[in-house]
Amino acid sequence: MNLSLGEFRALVAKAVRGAGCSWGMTEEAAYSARRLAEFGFPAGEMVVRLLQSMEGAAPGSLMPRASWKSAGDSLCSICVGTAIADQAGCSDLSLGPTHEPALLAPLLMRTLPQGSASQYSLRWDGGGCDVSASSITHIGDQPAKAVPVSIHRRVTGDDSDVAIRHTRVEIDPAVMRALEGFAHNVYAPATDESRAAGAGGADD
Amino acid sequence: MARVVERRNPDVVMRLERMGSFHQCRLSFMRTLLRRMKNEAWSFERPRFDIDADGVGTALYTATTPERTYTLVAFAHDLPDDLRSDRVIATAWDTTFTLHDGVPTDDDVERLRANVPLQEAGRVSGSELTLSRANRSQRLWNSVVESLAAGQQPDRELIESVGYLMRTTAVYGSGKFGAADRESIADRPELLAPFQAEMLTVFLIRAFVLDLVEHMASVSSPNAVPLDPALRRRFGIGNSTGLGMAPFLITHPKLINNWIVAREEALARVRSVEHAADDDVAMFRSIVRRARTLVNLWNSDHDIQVAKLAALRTDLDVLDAYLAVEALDGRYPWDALVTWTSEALSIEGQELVVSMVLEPYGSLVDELTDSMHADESAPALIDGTCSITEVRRSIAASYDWALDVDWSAEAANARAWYVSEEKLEPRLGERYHEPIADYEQPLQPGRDAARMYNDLHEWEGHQTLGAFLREHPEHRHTARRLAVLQDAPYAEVRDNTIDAEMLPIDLLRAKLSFFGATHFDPRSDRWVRINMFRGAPFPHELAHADPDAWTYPPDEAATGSLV
Repeated sequence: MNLSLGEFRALVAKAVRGAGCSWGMTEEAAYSARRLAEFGFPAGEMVVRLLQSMEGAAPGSLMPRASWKSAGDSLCSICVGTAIADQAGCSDLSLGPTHEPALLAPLLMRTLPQGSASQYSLRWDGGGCDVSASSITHIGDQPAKAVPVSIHRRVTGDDSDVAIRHTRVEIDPAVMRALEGFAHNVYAPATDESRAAGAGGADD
Repeated sequence: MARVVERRNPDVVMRLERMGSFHQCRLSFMRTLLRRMKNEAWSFERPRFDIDADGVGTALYTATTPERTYTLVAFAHDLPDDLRSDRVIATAWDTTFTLHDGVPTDDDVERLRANVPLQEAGRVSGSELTLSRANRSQRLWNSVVESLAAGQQPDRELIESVGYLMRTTAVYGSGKFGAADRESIADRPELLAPFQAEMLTVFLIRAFVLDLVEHMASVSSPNAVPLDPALRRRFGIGNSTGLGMAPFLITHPKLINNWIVAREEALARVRSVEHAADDDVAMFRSIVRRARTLVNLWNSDHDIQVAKLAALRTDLDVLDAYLAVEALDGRYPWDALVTWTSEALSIEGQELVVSMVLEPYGSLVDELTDSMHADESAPALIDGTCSITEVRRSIAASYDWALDVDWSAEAANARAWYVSEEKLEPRLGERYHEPIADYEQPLQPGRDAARMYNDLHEWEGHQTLGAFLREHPEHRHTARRLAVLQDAPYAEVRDNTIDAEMLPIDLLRAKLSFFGATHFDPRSDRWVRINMFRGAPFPHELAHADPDAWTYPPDEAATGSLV
């Protein structure tokens, strides 16, 4: 199915919220997925895998601790990304096993002012991505499970925007169904009472 | 110019009662659009009007700017009376529309014909900017068609009492149902101001609807006449707006701030005018007379609005008395007037005066429309290094009103905003009587700020917000609102949006007033009918019309001498 970026972002937001994340994290995740989609990443698949990996995880166990390791077995990339963004970026970091590390990239990108000469390199076994103030490019494969990630910040000299921007998201029906499955949890079941009063409309 | 009068305090402006009394003004989005169309000499054409004798078919209306063309693609349907519904759960309409980016090919029109009549159940593409539909006001429609077919002009009183032949029940934009994202078109000067694609859609829908009613008369009788041009202008496009629009004001804090700042800055600039020119005073006095006509034509059966209108009529009497003795020739006459209204008039009347004093000062205030958009594509960054002491101070400064509310009281927590499974639309329920609390949307910033403030008590002042949010991610959305509020003092409604007495129509009216709507007519506490573009020139008239002179009716409108 062909979605606008806004539709994709709204769908991801509902799915993330439906998976039990806080509203604030939901906003970050939806933004991150939308930005990755804009740079051609299969962001829908990534979000589905991330949410599936979170199922059954103890609350807070995917959140980074002071050492950038998790209290549990693995880290949520959105949790790590927001923690780094909240401190306005980072220098070099080694993260413990992290689910869907590419979803970190848009949150790191936001810490680079437009025109910044700095760039982040994210690397994991078999792949990675480079993040400048205006583009995200991927290298190699996206990992199917949580992997250790290294983040390296360097000065490149310029921020020439060469990335192709996508304005639509072509989403696989199975991914769409999976996202909608999570999203369904945000909807209150209809009752006669809510039907009559909730929307409050009437005709004449 | 130097401002000697400050903007009004957000604690005064951002209250629901006041926001629910806002009126359209020079900065409203319909007026922004008309001024631009006039200034840039847009051209308009109707390249296709294939409507049969049953009123079924297709029409195209183009609007061409100096750079590009937009086309309203209109589909007219034969809708049985029993299917005509304003509810969002409706599945069929008298007319359906989309605004196409460019000139559609025949293939485009056929693609749209397969989707646009389905509205939410269909899909448009990145080449479409809006999706909309409208239903007839059956009573007025039939009367107008019959009169014109008989070679007569329709009954003027009936026209004035209803005000429109069709009302839209939704105008979707911004990437909805597959349409182009706002970000992809926001770099076009003509679409930079908020809701310009939506306003253009309605402006062209109005032209189509009037053409359609004249067409229906002409196919039913060889003696049919077209509408008299002056009477024709008295038709706007109705709009029926429900709860779906209400959360917008809470979910777009930066944008709402920019709207309110523009209006408050405009007011402060006018209040800072030291001496009013005679022409400006004369224009203001004329606007006040015409506002009385507008209010006389403003009908509502809803108890709340009936009371507000009665107060507004009294306000206009009181204002007349003031203007009979005040020549507005002293220093800072507008500041004196506005200051006087805060004691002398109802809030509805105060806000009408705010709108009216802007009218003579286009050169002073119209440029502010350039600052009414906002880039909300990314969530505001949170400064996690900020200390808990600073966060507490920030909450106390922006949400002092919320910290004074007893949130354990049932009345303060009576409602919950949620999205229904049935139609995926925002609804407002009774928290203690429906199983909805688990599905609550984050649309009660005051309560959430109070909760965060409470949880901060257990933290040391030197600890950081970042550390707090890692432990309490449930407060992250509130921390973000605090970040927005740093530079946006009017971003937040300073009232309880889940209180037992809260009126969603106040939120609707605030937004619709910025669109430029008039004749607010609540049908319950959560949906409202309005009129759009009533009195405005039609596309073919714009080149020879004043783009700003139409929002208040001519003095004579209520007396029947207009025609």
